[in-house]
Amino acid sequence: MLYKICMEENIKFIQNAKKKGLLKKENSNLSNLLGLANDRKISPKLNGLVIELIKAVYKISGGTKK
Amino acid sequence: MISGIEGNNLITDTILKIAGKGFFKNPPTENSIVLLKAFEKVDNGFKLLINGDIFIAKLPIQVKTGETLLGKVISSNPLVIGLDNFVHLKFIDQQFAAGLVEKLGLKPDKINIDLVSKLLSGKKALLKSKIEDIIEITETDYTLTEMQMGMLINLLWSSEYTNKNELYNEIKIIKEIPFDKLCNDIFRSIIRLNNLNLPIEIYNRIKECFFINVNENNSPFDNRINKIIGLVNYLEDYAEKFKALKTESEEIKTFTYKIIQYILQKSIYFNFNFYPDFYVIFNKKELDLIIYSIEILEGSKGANYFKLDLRCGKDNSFIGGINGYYSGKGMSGKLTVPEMLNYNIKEQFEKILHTLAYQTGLFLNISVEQGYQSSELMYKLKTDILNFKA
Repeated sequence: MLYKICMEENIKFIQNAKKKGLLKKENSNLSNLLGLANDRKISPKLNGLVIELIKAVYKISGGTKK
Repeated sequence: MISGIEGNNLITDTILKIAGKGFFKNPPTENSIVLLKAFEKVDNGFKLLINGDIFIAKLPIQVKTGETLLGKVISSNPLVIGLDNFVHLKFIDQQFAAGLVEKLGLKPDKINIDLVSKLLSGKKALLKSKIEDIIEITETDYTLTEMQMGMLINLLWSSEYTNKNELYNEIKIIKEIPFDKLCNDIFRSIIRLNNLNLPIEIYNRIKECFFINVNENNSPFDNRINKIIGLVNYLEDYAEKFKALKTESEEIKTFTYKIIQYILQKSIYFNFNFYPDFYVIFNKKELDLIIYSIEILEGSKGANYFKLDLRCGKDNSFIGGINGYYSGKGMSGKLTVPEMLNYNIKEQFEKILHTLAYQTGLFLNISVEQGYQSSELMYKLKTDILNFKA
């Protein structure tokens, strides 16, 4: 079900991208939205860790307001 | 049997190997560079013309009939020809590269020599038609960055693309605007949207997709890309159906345009194990921008090499980077910060890390050191990393 919703959203997104002239064709090998959404190398666990590390580095660096 | 060649064609995935007792009128000598012409397809591979003799061999790469390529003779009896291992030198000798260019029948000008050098360092087979394709594509536009060129080479050599113009059209999205500038544009657009009177649903969705509160625990960003895609579609519908005011409509249009570029760029970089991204930092009622990039390279023993580079603010100043290894069980490595290290920074990070390890159940061993990083973002530099993929 979730996959079906994603597919519908992706198709709509691709149509919007085409409408704006950002994508020439629908079946692009490069702009693979499903691949991007389901990349196994960035697992939810790693993603969560990255966010926490970003916060940690931001905190110790003081961000742009040092 | 042609030219007295018999026996099996033994192929490895990177080396063209022809075995047999063959009699060669013009036997190629060991370590010499030979020109191969794949002139006819046969059941078991290609008929190749090498120094006037004909051999049948399977090629470990896809080539069209008529393709001309270079090979290096690894051994002459049995004949073993390598297609992608011409040099083991760290620095490619320009004169050597110029010699290869000439042997392929191309003009030994700077562009061709640079291109062949790049192919050598990336361990790519020197296929004349592909080199000609790249020259044709880049001829009209010499402003391709290292990364764009690296990507083009990888794609032309490894993908199923047969139409080079189609391929070039696809990578145009990367060329239009650098990723860091794009993130800055999106950030500024978010600030402008914040000053408009849009339905709360829109603000909630933007927040859900892009915001991190540094002082709170954030719920994991599950299906983030799907949410962002959903946001674009929602905003497009909103702008169309509800005939928003002109200012609102224009800002929404700008925002969705940039977000579509962002998604498409990410989806292209993703093919090369490169994951640039950004978040809007929400810190005590103030907003800040953080742009980051992750590189993940497959490692051995279940751990992948992991590199995180963090930049902050409108000038993308480097605020820290982590190099290390990640497995499902934890991460080890070092954090490099540009600020002068003091006890407080180390202690603060160690405390955070300790809490994080406790919360996630991960083993975290990350030391802190002071260091510097090039001001240029990594994704503009790492053509060598891109070559790992192909």
